[in-house]
Amino acid sequence: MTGDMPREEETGDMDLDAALRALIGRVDPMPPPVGRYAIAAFAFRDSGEDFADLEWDSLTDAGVLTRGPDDGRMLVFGPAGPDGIRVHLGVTRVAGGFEVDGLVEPAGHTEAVLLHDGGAVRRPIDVEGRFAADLPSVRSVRLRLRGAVSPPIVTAWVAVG
Amino acid sequence: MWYGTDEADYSETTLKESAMEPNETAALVHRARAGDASAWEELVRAYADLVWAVARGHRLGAADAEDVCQTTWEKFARSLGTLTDPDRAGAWLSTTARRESLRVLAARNRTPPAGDMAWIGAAREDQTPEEIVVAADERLRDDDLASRLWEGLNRLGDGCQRLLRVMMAQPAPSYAEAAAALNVPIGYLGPTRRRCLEKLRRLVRPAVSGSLEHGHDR
Repeated sequence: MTGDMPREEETGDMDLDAALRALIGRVDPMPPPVGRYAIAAFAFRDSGEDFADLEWDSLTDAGVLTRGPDDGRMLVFGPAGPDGIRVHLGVTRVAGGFEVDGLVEPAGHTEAVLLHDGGAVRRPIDVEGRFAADLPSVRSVRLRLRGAVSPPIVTAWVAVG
Repeated sequence: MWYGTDEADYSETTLKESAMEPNETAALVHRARAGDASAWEELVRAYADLVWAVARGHRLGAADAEDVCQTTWEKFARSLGTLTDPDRAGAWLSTTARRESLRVLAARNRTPPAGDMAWIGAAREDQTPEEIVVAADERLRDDDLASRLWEGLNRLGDGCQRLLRVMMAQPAPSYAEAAAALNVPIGYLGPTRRRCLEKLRRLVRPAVSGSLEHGHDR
């Protein structure tokens, strides 16, 4: 779908459907970087990391009675890897950004890397699997978990801000 | 281009036409699973615009829509090996894009703006809705038909705007893919799409002089 919009005198046989497609092609085409990223995403097929997709989100999955404070949100990623790792993440909006509290079950990883649209924050994970971090006002976050023995895990991106 | 003799038949044929038949999609998924990058690129060519259309149909701005697209394609790549229905990869992509779009909307604590199509031309997040609509108007000013179509789209309800935006993906989505994108039964699509197009025709018609009338004219 490229090129100029058809002139009205040429649209006698042109259907509305095609005219709409041509219109959208002018006012809202998919940006080329989106297509390039999609092609590059093939590399994720075999990234060497176990992937922990978002399993539960209090923002969209919680009933009224279980919903937390207005500024608090609970996310659960996983299960991932042969051990069925789950990552529980509490994200609380505070002045200037977010407070993040995490729990990895079962414990075993030693470092959490919180990747966001502005960079990354590294935090140690204790023997019980807990970690905490402060984040600036960011749009999206994902975690990478690393450990000497446990296989690396990456979570899905999640929009937070 | 397919010229139908009946609006209903034409609409349904257009709706059913998509880039690939399900068996073709399945074959590409299997090849991509085996590491064939060219097969992956064909899948991207077939469905990238649909994923974009789903995100934009949820009235996400450009940056959020790009995030949804990136997340969707990454998840698809990671899920290649475990897809249970490779022939329905298009519907899988549509569903994932829809869910990610809803999650972004919830996270931004955002209610999509109702009414005008300001969201559709949001090239920059710092553009006001008024600037976006004006910019689109400027781009279309030299084309009377396009301007009237644009004006008509702006006057449709939210449901028709989202449905038509998804349908305007290139290539056109299949019934299953569109239904997944909109989270509606497949049987809902044909009649609703016809109703939305008829509404749009009525909005555009006063200055159209029959150029966009029913298919039997053609």
